[in-house]
Amino acid sequence: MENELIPTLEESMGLDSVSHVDRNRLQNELWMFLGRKTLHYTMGDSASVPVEKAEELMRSIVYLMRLGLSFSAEASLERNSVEELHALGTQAAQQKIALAKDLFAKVRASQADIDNLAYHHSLEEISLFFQRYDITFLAHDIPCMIDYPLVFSPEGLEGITYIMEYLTRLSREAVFLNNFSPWNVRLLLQAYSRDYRQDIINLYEPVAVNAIGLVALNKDPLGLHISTKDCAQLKELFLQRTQEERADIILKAADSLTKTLNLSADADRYVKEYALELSFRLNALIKAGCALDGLFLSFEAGEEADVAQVVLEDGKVMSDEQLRDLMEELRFAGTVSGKITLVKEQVHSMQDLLEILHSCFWGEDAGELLKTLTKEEQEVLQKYVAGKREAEPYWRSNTGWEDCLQCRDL
Amino acid sequence: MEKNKTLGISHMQLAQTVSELQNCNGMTERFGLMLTEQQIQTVAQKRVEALCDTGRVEFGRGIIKDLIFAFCDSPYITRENYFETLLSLIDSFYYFKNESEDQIPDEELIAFMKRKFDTVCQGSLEYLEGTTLEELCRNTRYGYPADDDDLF
Repeated sequence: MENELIPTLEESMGLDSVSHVDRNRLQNELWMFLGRKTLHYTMGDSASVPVEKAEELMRSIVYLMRLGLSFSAEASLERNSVEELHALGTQAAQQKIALAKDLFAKVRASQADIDNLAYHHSLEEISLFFQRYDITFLAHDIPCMIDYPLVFSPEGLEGITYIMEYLTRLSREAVFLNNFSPWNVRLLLQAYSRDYRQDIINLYEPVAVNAIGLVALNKDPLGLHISTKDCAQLKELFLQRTQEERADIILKAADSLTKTLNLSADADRYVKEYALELSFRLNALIKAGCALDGLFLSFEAGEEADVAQVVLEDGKVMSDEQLRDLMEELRFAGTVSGKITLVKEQVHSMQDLLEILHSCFWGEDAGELLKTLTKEEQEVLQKYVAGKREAEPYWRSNTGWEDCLQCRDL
Repeated sequence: MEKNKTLGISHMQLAQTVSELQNCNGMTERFGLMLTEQQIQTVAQKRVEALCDTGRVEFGRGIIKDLIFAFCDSPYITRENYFETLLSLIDSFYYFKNESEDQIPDEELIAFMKRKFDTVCQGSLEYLEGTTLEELCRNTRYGYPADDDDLF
């Protein structure tokens, strides 16, 4: 017979430390405040609402009260009324929205250059969040569909708090990923999941695993490729150790990796937090007698050969029309990795490569393409540039691609 | 503890409703309509039950006073049937708030109920609930226009 199960303030906020008097006061204030909020929600049109709607309005009020309590050191359930805490929480939420928008702009600007539907779709959805977020009535809600899974999902958070935390973690993952060539990341992801573009997978994890594994073997992490021989060495490294020793090796490798990549303190902590999880996985695999080649991934040898060889096989020059069509496609390719794929598939001569470099690859994009060439091919290009400058000391291409040949990390 | 708090809130609303109904008697008396103390308690309890049955929660003074003021001058409500009619109207009101998916404001729904009760339904609650209000809510849910003189 009782009317509904709108959660009491006690259930929502855990009032164990609050006196009986304050508890009753707060419960009554909350009921009255919920009544006013409901009237506001219905614009005075309805004195009653479905219980589910009242519950949602209540959750929003309690969410903002919690936010208010954490926003101000002086705020407390004993000292402040429900309305005061709600107002403080609203102020806090508005500040968080502004910060989240800034953070989102930064995340957008530094997003990982990888084709993954869930990743890019989730970014689009977050932009819609800011349009849809209703701080007045549904502050606890997250009105968007975020599919992309982070390596550490923000659990138990609501509203703008969730979005802030999600963006913060996404930013740390992107900062890490952007240290690696998108080409190498693509190859690794293909080994991780053939349909990585469509699959809902976390992009950070396979890259972090391989990078940490390579550092544990005192190898350069940027290549990302762990060969069969490397994998055998890793097995030998970990097999006869205790769990604590394995964790120590992994954490030391993670520490070395973050220093190599010169990561910020937050991104550094994130890598180390992941390294701990990795050590648990490793222990479980070894305990179960599983091979480590499912954890530390190799690219397929064929793919590597493709990357090294397909670009330059002199003699297979494209016709003018083919070259024009390719340049047009490159203009509209969405990502650098997409452009590089097109070059890989269609360019097979030095002559054509030079045409493409002169017209279609600017700045860092050129660097990414050059990273996919073999040392011999890069040397050929260097000789080309040297020859040009011998004839014309101040020669410079339209795009400035030759500057990237001098980059240390090629 | 939780049940006690819910009971506490229900008691407040009951007391408020009882007080309002007592005041309403002062207005409806001129139409020959009065509720006894026992009937007042029953009507107040009916409100709580109807809200519970329809899964709704109501704040403030609610709509009973508005229902009474709207219907008290109906030619089809007499001293003999006032109490039972009021109970049925309370049930109908909350039921059709749900059926209309809250798209019809309280004031307009009450006005519609009164207008149809006095005209097309000729005082029949069965006709009001089974035909007229069903049709209104169906039209509202599907976005069809109501009759020309509906809602106003």
